[in-house]
Amino acid sequence: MLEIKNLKVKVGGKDILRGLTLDVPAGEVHAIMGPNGSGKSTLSYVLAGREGYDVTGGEVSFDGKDLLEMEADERAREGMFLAFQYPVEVPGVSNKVFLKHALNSIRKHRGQEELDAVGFLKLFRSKLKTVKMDKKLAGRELNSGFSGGEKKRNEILQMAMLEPKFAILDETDSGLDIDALKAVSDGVNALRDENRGMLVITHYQRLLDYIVPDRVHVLLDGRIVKSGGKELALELEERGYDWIRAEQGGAN
Amino acid sequence: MSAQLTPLAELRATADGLWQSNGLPSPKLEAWKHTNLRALQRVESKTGGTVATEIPSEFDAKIAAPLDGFAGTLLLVDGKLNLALSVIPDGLTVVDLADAAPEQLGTIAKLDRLQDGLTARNLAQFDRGVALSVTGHDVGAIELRYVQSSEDAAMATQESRLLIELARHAELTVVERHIGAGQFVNNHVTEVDLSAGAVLKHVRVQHQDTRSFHLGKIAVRQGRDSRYESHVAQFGAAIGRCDIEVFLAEPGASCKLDGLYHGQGNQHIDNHSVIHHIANNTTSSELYKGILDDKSTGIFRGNILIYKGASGCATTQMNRNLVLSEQATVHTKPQLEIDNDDVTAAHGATVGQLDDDALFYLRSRGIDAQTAHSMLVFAFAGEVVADVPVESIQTLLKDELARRLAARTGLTVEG
Ligand SMILES: Nc1ncnc2c1ncn2[C@@H]1O[C@H](COP(=O)(O)OP(=O)(O)OP(=O)(O)O)[C@@H](O)[C@H]1O
Ligand SMILES: [Mg+2]
Repeated sequence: MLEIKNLKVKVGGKDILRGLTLDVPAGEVHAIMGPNGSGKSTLSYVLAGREGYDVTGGEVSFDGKDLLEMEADERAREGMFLAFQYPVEVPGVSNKVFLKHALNSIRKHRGQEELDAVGFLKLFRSKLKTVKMDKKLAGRELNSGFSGGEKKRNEILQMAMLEPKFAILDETDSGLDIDALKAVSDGVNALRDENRGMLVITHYQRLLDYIVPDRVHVLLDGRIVKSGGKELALELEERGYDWIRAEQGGAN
Repeated sequence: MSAQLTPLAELRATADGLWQSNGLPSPKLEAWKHTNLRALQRVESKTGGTVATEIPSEFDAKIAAPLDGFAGTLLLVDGKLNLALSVIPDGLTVVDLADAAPEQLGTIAKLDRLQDGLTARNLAQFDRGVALSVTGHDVGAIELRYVQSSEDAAMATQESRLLIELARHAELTVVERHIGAGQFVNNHVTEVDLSAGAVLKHVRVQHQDTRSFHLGKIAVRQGRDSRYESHVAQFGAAIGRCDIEVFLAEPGASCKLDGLYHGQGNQHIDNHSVIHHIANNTTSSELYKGILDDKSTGIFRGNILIYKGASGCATTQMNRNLVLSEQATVHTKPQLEIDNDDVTAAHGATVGQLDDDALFYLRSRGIDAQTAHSMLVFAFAGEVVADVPVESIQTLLKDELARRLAARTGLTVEG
């Protein structure tokens, strides 16, 4: 479903992704772990279509389409979703109005009828329950003044509303208390099915107890250098990344 | 206050002398540094600056349909009151300045200081407008709708005047809507006199034709514990200039001046204000937000003067600008002049662009670039729109902004 081949990306003239290859088939959840600065967020931004990145090589195919050819909003309408590591505060824009615009532009693209205020509110309320989010919070200005954990929960609320084909979660678990972690995981697990793919970026194997991945990949210096089953996450947590660096040094 | 004793005729003669010797304000004056009236002068010289045509006896009544939430509507055609098409609520006294007896004009020109040729010209020549007064309690909201008799009329200059007097503890909301179509010059002076405890909410929506000129001066005198709230929204005119001067003359008086302006094409929108903190414990707050697109120019200049001996005053002043085009220009000058120590004051100005991260965030959820753009502009303007007193006017401002943004992007959004 998402096939990344030999992706090379420069940011401000600096090589960040240096030939990254990754294949996430439909129905699978893959995890990416890797040290700070290894390029995890860069990968997720490039996939979501943020500006400011120079793709100097490689290709990304999403559901058979050339992902990198599309504008950010087209990608979202095609079903790509990124839960941001640092969700953006947008004061003055109501969370609800924003979500209604987003949902209806995606529904329109899918050939579904746009929801009116009543239909939207019904769906909104039911999804609030799924992610256990407070109604008052959800009705405020988009992420404005939200705590770190509230912002993350709001990302999952958006994901639950928009029902993307493919979701990238960039450290959605960082800064969450246990209750929030469970709520977020429930939201994610509710979306798991054979037609959806997910990429979960995390530093903690704890999350992977809740969202059990099919594969775990290690991203180091802009490349996937090691892949394995969920036990790899445990090993990384115990041993850190130095042994992988050493393996790499040996291999090069 | 000896001016009060001077007969109006004498004042007008003096004003005429000033106008004859000064003419239109030139950019050499500090207050007119960024606003050149050459275009206006050119247009006026073609027609000799003549006063507008007679009001046609039959005028489309549709135009006077009242907005929701208003107790009354006054229709002013070419600046002249059309009584037949107006609805005047109980408790509001309306004097038509076009045919008022001299003694009814006694309070006119008491408040505005003649500072430049334009206000002098208005005082010397004004022959239309209304004086409103309230002596009881809250009358509610009234709209003054300023329209032009004909879109095709030759260039015309109108010198009109508005006087609002509120007696002790009287309350009123006045919405001036300047929506005239065609090419004309609207030189409009508003005077406000608030007695102790009076509350005036005053909205001006300026969406005149972009071929026209709007020159508006608002002078306000506030008595003890009175409250003045001004909301100026400027969307229209080739040159739209609004000057507000508030005299917080007695203790406890407070004012709030809000502004919103949106420039497109070659529009030139200029907002000036001076707030005089003359008495103790007077407070003011001011927030102007400008959105400048295309080759438009937006100007904000605000002066706050805290007089010597006026202790316990508090003031905040902010001008924020959102620049949507590289060719748009912003001039902003918030100024504080404080003559004593016992004051709390904060002021500032910002000039920025749309936040790229916010744009990307919205787009990453499937919202197209143009809608995302409009949503962020709305978000910027929302804070000042939300404070406008009558809901139907808030809606009108949002619709107007949406219409203008749609003209740019071909799209509409809900606020
Ligand atoms: N706009 C930019 N300009 C210059 N360098 C950048 C820019 N954005 C990212 N980088 C650099 O790219 C590298 C990868 O950053 P990235 O955010 O992708 O790391 P990460 O793997 O997500 O790290 P973390 O685990 O801390 O979130 C870092 O060295 C970072 O400083
Ligand atoms: Mg990161």
